[in-house]
Amino acid sequence: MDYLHGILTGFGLVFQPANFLYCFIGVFIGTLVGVLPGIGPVGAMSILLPTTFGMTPVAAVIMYAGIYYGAMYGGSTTSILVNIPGEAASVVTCLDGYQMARQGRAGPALGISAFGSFIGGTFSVVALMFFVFPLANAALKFGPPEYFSIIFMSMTVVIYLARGSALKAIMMMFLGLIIATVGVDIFSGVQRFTFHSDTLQDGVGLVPLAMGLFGITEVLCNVEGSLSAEMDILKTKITHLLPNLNDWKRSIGPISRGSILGFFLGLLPGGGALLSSFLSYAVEKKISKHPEEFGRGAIEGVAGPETANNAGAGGSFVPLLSLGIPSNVVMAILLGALMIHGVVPGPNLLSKHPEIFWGTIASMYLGNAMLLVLNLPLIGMWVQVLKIPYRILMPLILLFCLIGAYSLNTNWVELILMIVFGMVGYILRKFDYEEAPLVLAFILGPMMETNFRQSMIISGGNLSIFSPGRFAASR
Amino acid sequence: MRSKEVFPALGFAAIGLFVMWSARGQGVGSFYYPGAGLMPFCWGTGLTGVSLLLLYRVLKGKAKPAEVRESSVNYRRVAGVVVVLLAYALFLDRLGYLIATPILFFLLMVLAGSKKIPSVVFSVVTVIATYFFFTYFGLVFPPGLLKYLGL
Repeated sequence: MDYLHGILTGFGLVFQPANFLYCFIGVFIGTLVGVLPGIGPVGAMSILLPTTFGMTPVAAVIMYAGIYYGAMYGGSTTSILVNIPGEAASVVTCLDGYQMARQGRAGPALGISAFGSFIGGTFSVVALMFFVFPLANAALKFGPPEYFSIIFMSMTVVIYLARGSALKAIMMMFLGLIIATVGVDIFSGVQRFTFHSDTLQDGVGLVPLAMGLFGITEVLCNVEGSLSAEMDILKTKITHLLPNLNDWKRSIGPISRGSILGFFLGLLPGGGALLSSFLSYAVEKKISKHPEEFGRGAIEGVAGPETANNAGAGGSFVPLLSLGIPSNVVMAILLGALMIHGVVPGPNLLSKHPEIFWGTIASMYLGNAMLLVLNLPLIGMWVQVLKIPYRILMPLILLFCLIGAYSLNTNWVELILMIVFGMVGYILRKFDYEEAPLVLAFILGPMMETNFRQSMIISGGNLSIFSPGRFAASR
Repeated sequence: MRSKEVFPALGFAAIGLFVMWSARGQGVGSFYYPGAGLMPFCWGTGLTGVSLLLLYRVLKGKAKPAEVRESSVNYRRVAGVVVVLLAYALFLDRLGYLIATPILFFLLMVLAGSKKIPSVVFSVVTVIATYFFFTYFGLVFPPGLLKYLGL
């Protein structure tokens, strides 16, 4: 299938009414969770995981992709207007975006952020199309040793990039790997850590784990503080959303660099939107002729990171779609959603399920355009959303988590598991342990184990099979 | 604040040791013929080793202690939310969605500081709306006590 034929097939799929609707729902929910502090794309995707069961795999990926990059768009709104990042990748936008808003330039800040996101997002989709095929072709030569080594490397990089202590990140990774071994061993049929529970024989589900660690934990962390405090939204008129010529002149460089930097950082394990936005800000400040303006309302400090986080979000799809290996937690949940539908991402995805790949690509083009419309003319609506009190949001989020976990197998044990994971996540956060390495290891664990055991059987128990010189792909 | 780091590290080490012990019972095998317990044994060993290393660094004062933000933490509310959620999970099948969920929603709203009368109204409206929304998508909720009324 050539590129033109593929993309036309993709657009044909996306413009089917149901898929078009899911694309819109995805970007809408994404923007909403991006705007609302306290629930990010990971939490939203976890909560919505059970709703994807009734969809086609294409529709599920289209909706999830929309949530991910929609959150990148929406996150900038709260950063600029409230100085509170809607989600982690927008933290750096607070620095200059809020200062611009205080100087009466909220409009251009929101405008350049939306345009930068659109350009970065679109660039990453184009680059994604051209990167996935060569990588997937190379990956067709991969066997179990290569896959084990790639997964091992991914985990190493994720730990290296962890926010806090590397030792704690390693501990969380091991915990995730251990939880992944719960259930019946597929090689021997031996029960592992099931404690005679029928529910645990199938292993721990991704939905209770992810919803517990991200949804419930997030809520518990929020309810421990004051819930009556109203959000201090900057009372400024939002005018001139279209940046002027000078704004564009100052922003075009950061947007171009942010697109390229963001995409390539998105390819890295543990990369994606967060790392891209921080590095873009650092680069722009470093090369600027007026670094002293950064932190005081420099438009470059908004344009670069906002472009980079959307480009990074697109870039992180490359390892998932070509190798079947998620580079961050969002991609890990997307992988989980696809596997629930019996679709295994990887080099064979492009030949066996081209509709998923091209549908995702086309939906990203369409989604980026939808987001531009949602985020510029409707900015007033998102500002109103910010005024919803948390005392109403909190029970709603919890209710959706409970319904989501229960709907899996209509089994109350799943609810208990989710709540327990939520409590564990809350306690671990108190001690500065991150959940992301745990969830990533939980999803990659079974792949890692299978590939390791197959490699050992192939090599007759010789660990040197993992040395680069022995790799099939290098010969 | 060393104890803030010591107890979790000890807890992780204990989990690691338990996993190693259990994995032996599952059959570790060898690298030539890996058994079901091989990977859990490796992961348990890794967890124990890294936990003990963290413990050593904490006790030697080499590890940065976790930040303490406890001054304005409302643990009673956190515990209240957890208890309400656990109770809901335990009683959902017996009471049914249409009875258990408004109670859950009302209690959560009150715990979050909402007034009682608006909370009752909001709970009932939300539960009816979510019931029809999710059943439309094919989700089956437990009828609970309402099955005795033939509903």
